Amino acid sequence: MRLKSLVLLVILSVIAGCGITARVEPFMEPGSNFQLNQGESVVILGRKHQASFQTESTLIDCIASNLASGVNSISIHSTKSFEDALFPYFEPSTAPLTTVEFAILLENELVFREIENTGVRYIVWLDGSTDRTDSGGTISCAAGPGGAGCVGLAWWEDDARYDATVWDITTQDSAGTIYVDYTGRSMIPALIIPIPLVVRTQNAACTGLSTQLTSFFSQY
Amino acid sequence: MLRSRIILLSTVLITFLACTSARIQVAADFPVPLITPLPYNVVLIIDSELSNYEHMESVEGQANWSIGLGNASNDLVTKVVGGLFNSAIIINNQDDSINLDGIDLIIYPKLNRFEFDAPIRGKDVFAESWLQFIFSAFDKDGAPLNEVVITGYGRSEIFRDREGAVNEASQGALRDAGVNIVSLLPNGLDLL
Repeated sequence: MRLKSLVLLVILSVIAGCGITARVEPFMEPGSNFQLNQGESVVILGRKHQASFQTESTLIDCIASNLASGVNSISIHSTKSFEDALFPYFEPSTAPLTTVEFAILLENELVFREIENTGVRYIVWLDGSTDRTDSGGTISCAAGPGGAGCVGLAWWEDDARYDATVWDITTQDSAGTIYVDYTGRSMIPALIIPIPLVVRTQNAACTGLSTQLTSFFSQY
Repeated sequence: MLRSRIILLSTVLITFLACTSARIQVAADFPVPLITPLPYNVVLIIDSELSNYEHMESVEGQANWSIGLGNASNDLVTKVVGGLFNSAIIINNQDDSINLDGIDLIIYPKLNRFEFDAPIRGKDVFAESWLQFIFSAFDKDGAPLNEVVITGYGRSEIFRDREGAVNEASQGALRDAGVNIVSLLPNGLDLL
């Protein structure tokens, strides 16, 4: 009876140790209206200019898919076709990093006309990445004539930190920013059989960013 | 009995070979640059050395890599140089006969170097590619004018598919070279 309680306690504390800590800070520029008229769309682009990280294409695809589906779905323009149509102005080495640079780029009539042709009204810039911040523990496995099994505990912590900045093509200025930081701890407790309890931190960041972006665009 | 042994041996051999060699054909899918073409008519020589370019490298502790860059390089140079000038006639060999009336420049690109890295372990989780083109320019009489070195760098995060990451990084390097062709080639050839 005592052993059973002890095992139950260990399992409960392991499960309680897994989880996500979230921080979401949306900011809408005063006077911004996230209004999409007929034929207008949003494109999601990832920042790739940093030396140590680049925003994952899986996150861009995830957010694009979330925004394009559901009750408050919005029209999403394909990232690749936008970058191809505007080549070479939105490449890692040439993309505008500030709204001032963006306004200068839009002075190029070819660029301005091509953006108009795509129907894109808002650009969502994603900057950040999901990184492994910590890990530890061990699992030992052994096999013999009587059977096989593992014992131990392995864990790791992922941090998904992203900024989504929305640029309005019409005003040539920033319309809003969303900062998210999701920290998740995953574990694999093993008592004969290893049981992976994986926390998908990047998926959580995708959902958080998608929810906030949808709420921006669904206000009008 | 013998047949099943042969099948088993073949399976083991195929598995072994699959584990020790990585073969990539870099995808050719590059856009034409959105620029006002320079008022020059050029001949662009794309020879078999460029269009069949393959990088072979045996990386210690990894696989024997074979990275086919020819098709993608051909596509990139054709589209970017084609978009950069008023007109570009493409020929496949320096010896091909062509009417050079109205031609201002002959451009001969060569993929000079290619390097890549696809780490297996450690904190560096990016596959990286770097390449270098040399663009030689000649006047219509064949006299050499100038040489311009164009480089490109690309990287891609390795999730599970290392070959896919190297492919993506190489595509990125070619695309980056495309950006540099647009921004550096006209000046390097004294065309501005």
